[in-house]
Amino acid sequence: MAATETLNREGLDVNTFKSLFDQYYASIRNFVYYKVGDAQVAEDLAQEVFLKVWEKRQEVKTDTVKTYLYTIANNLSINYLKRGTVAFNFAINPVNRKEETIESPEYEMELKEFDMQLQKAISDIPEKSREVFLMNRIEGLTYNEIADRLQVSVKAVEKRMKKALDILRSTIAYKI
Amino acid sequence: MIKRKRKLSINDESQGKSRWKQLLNDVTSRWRLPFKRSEREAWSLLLEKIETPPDPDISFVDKLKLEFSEILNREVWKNWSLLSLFGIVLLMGIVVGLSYWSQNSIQITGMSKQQTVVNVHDVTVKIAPETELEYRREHVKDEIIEVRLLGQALFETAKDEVTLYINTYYGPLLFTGKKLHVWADYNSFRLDCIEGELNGQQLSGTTLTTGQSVHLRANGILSEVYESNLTQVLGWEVGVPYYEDISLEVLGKYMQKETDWELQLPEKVKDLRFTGTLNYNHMPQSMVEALSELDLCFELVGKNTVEVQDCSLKK
Repeated sequence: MAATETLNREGLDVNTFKSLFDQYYASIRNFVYYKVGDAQVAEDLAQEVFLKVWEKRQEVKTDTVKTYLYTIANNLSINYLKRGTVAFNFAINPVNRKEETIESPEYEMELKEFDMQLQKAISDIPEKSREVFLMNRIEGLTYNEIADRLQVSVKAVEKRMKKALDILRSTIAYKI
Repeated sequence: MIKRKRKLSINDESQGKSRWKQLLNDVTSRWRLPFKRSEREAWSLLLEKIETPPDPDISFVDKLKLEFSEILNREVWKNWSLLSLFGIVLLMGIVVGLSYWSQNSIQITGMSKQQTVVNVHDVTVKIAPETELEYRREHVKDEIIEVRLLGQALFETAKDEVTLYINTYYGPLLFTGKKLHVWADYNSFRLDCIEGELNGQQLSGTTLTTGQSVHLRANGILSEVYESNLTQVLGWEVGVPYYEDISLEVLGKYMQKETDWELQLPEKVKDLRFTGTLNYNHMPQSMVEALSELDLCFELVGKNTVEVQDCSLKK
């Protein structure tokens, strides 16, 4: 049962809080990461988000808990960003040998080059477009799912995605 | 079938765009988020930070019931054939495990009303009355010593230190030390460093020194390190055991086992908590003195049987 369904209007106990954590921790942590670009900071801020929810457990309401979580995450990220710049460093999955295709060494080189440029360029995308781009690319979320998570319209998600891709296209030269 | 990807040639802009898209897809499909902490670790960390409400009354059995009911409620178990298969495999595992363990281990139950001393692979173990200790018959020198414990025991090695793998009802615990006292019960676990230093997997890098203790909270997290009175901790060696935050119901069971005195407890007071020392050599006076602080009244209702009542109810 989803945490939101069991959440008592008068607050939450440890078990309900655990369900809430299970349901939202990963998405909140990722959301923060897309904003701040530092895994360690994202993990720490996600902890802080849940700590704040726990502190306010008597006031948490069923219908607004998700928005509440994302609002705290957003505020904490903004506070953090005032202190520094964003630099992404994604880990690379090992190549799965069971996959049907293998790449030529030349193509692998190009991929590496492109990867470096892309990781650098991502920091230059405005925050809102960046999070949409990464949610779609890293977590494989559909535009509908992203809209639901960010509480915006699908149209807005499409616009943000287009903007992200335009910036990337103009930043990374494809004529390698 | 394995196909080798051909390097694309860029003759015009549209080919360049599709190449760009392909590179973007291929690169991002390999990306993963660089987090180091698992969700489980994050939850444990969070639990340490939040002020959890004390829940000392939940017994080990209740905990198991709760965990099993959660597991059984999962959708996958609604498929009965899977459940039966799981049951059969579990039963076979238990039978094989028990027979292997019984053939390869020695089990000792502490003698009633006195301590028992056992030598477990060069570690002297003093066990409290009625305590159950089980250990492997075979042991490779200098390897970790594995024991199962239910009750109280004092472990001491003549060497600098020894590493013990202790199976308790709370799960396995791994500790290294010279002289340590362990109380592992159905609903409590405490570890005391009697001499030297004590390190352990569950202590998250903290080292206990002489006279320091930790206990396991009901939420499964170890408490902060605190100073203990070692005379009290080891009082059971001379028939003066020290109990820490246990319910009267559990206390009654200990008393009955170790002194033949029976406590009859009404439901209302069973869950009252007791911390203190009882002198089993002077019963029932010691019990009356110790429990009088809880505002309880006593009445002798038979030979060696005391009925406990809430004084406020009597009034």
